[in-house]
Amino acid sequence: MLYIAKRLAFYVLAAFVAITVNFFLPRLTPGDPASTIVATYSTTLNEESLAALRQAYGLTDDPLFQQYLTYLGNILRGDFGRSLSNFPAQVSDIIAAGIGWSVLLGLTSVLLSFVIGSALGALAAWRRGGIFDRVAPPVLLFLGSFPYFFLALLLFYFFCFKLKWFPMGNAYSSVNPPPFTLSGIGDVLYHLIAPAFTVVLVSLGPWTLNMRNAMIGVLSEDYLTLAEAKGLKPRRVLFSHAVRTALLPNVTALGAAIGGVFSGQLLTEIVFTYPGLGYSLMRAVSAVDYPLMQALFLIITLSVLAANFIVDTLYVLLDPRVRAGQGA
Amino acid sequence: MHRHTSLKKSPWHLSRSLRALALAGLAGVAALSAPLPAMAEVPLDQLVRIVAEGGNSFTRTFNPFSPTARWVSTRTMYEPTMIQNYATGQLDPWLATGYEWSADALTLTLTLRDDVKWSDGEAFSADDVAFTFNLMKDNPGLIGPAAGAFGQYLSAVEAVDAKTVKFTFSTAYTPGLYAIVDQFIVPEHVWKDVADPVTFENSEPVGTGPFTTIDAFGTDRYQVTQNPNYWQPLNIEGVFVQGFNGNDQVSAAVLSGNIDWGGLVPDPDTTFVALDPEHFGYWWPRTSVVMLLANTTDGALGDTTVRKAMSLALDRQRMINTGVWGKSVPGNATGLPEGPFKDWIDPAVVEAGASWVNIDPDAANKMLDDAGYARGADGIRVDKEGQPMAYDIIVPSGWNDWVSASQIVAENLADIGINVTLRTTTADSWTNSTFTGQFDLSLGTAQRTATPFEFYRNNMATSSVQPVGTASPNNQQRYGDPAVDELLAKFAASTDATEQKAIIAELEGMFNEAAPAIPLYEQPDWGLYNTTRFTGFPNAENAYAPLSLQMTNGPLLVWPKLERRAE
Repeated sequence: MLYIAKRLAFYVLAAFVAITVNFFLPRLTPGDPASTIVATYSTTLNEESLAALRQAYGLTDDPLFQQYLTYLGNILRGDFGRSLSNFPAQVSDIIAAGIGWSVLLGLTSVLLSFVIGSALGALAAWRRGGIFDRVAPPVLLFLGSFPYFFLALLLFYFFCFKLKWFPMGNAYSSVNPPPFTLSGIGDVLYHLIAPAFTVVLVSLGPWTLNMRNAMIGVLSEDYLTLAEAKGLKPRRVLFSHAVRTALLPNVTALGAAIGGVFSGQLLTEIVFTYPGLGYSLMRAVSAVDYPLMQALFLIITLSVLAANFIVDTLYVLLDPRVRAGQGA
Repeated sequence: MHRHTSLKKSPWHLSRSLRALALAGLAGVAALSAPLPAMAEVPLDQLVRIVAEGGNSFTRTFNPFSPTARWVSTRTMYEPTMIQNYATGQLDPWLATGYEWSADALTLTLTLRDDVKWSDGEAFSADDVAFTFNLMKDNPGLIGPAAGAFGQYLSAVEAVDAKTVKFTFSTAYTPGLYAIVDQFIVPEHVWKDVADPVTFENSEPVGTGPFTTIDAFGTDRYQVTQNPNYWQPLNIEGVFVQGFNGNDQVSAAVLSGNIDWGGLVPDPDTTFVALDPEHFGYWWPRTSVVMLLANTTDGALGDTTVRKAMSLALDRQRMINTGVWGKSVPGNATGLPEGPFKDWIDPAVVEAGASWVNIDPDAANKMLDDAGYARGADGIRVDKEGQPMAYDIIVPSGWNDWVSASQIVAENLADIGINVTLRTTTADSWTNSTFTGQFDLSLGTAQRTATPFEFYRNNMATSSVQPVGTASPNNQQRYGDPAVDELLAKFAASTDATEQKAIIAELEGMFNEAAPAIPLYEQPDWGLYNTTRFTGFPNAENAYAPLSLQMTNGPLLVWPKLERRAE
């Protein structure tokens, strides 16, 4: 358990560093939130409004360090303040409006690419040198090397705009959020297909290739020869012995990928007009919206740290070498 | 999109934790996505679908004193007392029926309509108007057309009786009329109990406007329906606002016929109108001028001769053809757009100004040669300090019409020995550089205003010049002439239209002399409409109001004129 305590201390330190960087980094870039708002939203505001906006938004000339202490205090109390680019909305309200959809789209697409990619990789390695092995990995890598924006826009154009198989946007049909019923969930899933599919399509390649390569390594191990020699059925050898071991690197990657879910699927949100936090983050950065930026960066860093901590902790349970203190 | 970077070799079991993660995620989504039961929404086919707001993660913020609150706050919910109509050039009566100046221009009296009610049924009165202005006086953080009025010229606002409001001025300032009548009015009976009006989210708005009922509200769209007590007859149920994240998606929605009003498609004659000439239309009236701004704090760029020579080298028609599909006209030497200011523009100035706004690169070269800006060995001219005349022109990337105009500026100026490099930046960085005067060349437009007063103040008055490094939206080129300040003061003290016109003509002449900014072409106000379901949109044949959704005072004029087409 000393190992977990050490890791925990490391993560607390990392979180503190991240919180600090979140504060200083946005403020190091040149820019003035009030000017940006005047320039973006109004053609009639003048210098007086500019000064008034600064005052209203609490943009003070206090020393940066003093502002930093105030910020730390607010973070500890869970007070993220009000967004400047959606003034006077609370940052927490904006995040609450988008986070569910980010998580839904992110988790669905990451888990689907993981499951499908690993299955395809295992299949390719099992029939190594076969037709499937020769065709699938290069095709998937080819798709993955497309710029995502281009591929998504192409699919949007054909399947949503021309053929109208899928909706041209939104996460559900009604304006108010859908009811939590079978038809409501179905509606949400229907809107999820096109955006999730494009993400899966471009990210499938690495999952497949990594799984295939790990499988090939495992298949040449002595214990698999032993398993076959014992007379086990090929299916049993494949699933219980080969896949189980070969999947481990992909599982580690899954931890990292899930941590990245909150950074949002910005391009997917743009192309499929899907709600989520990615677009909010882009707008926050372009509008120099410090409070919203800080809160979003905090969510991203904390979720990456949390996902990694879970992986680290599971190592202890699953890998005897870590328990013995050799490190991961 | 996810790219995993490195794969560490590390064995552990997956199924249990994976399932737990997935379940936790789905439970979270379910909890967040279903906080409300489905309500009876007004059917979408009864609502005008518009493109007005970008983005998603919408929150219920309807504070009309915040420029970043929901779009409807200042376009369907709250109303001003009068509306400056940029399509007709008239000041249309709205909550007020008219105004009157005292002879000394120190008192302005507004007479209000007596048939207006707030959406909650309470009567609208002069007290609400006086309250709104005094609220802004007590809370300088409230942003609106009249923000800052008390600091500059207004001393008191009071209700004389239920339908008369008196504005007392501390100094004669007749252009203040437009700022005052443009101000959105809020109900005293609601806002007097608000602890901090600046941070008030106003999620249950009470207004005098046509659509004040939030019928349905989702994460990236909402619909707002009729105010039961609206003071004008309405023929439509309300509006539906969809947030978009990208221009291509707006185009796709517009071309699919999913939008009734708004949006922008390139080259609309071919890409849009041709799809359904009977219903699809656009109208791009022009109410401001795109100008090339040269930072006059730079040595050579501060020289009028250099700016005029640069102007002579520019091919404005090419900018219009490439940037806005030919839908504009070159700017004239007064700097004013012809449409809204036709009564103010002095034809003599326009005629005299042809000598520096019409293309003539040979004359430009001669001017620079004569003024002593000789070409160096590389063909680039050198300024009086011996530095090569090489400048950056900055524009935001993605503003395609401006980027293409800037490219043409760079090409044209190369012909007269001035080396210009186009640098596209983020909109934020561009704003920061231009507001603080830290740039060589840039593009800009003027605010839309009722008279040319603000244009000359914001481009030529010393009062609008801030030192380099101090942010200001106006006079980015930092040109100031004390004689302009004097003329503007005379204008502001006058209530006589003839006298005001004479002063503006004089200012036009000074603009023509000094070229503080270089007019390029008139900027179209983008506007598209689709009459499949709704009719009555303003257009060139029926120019009763602007079509642009971005103006705060255009849509209010349009709502009462729209009608649902019979099925």
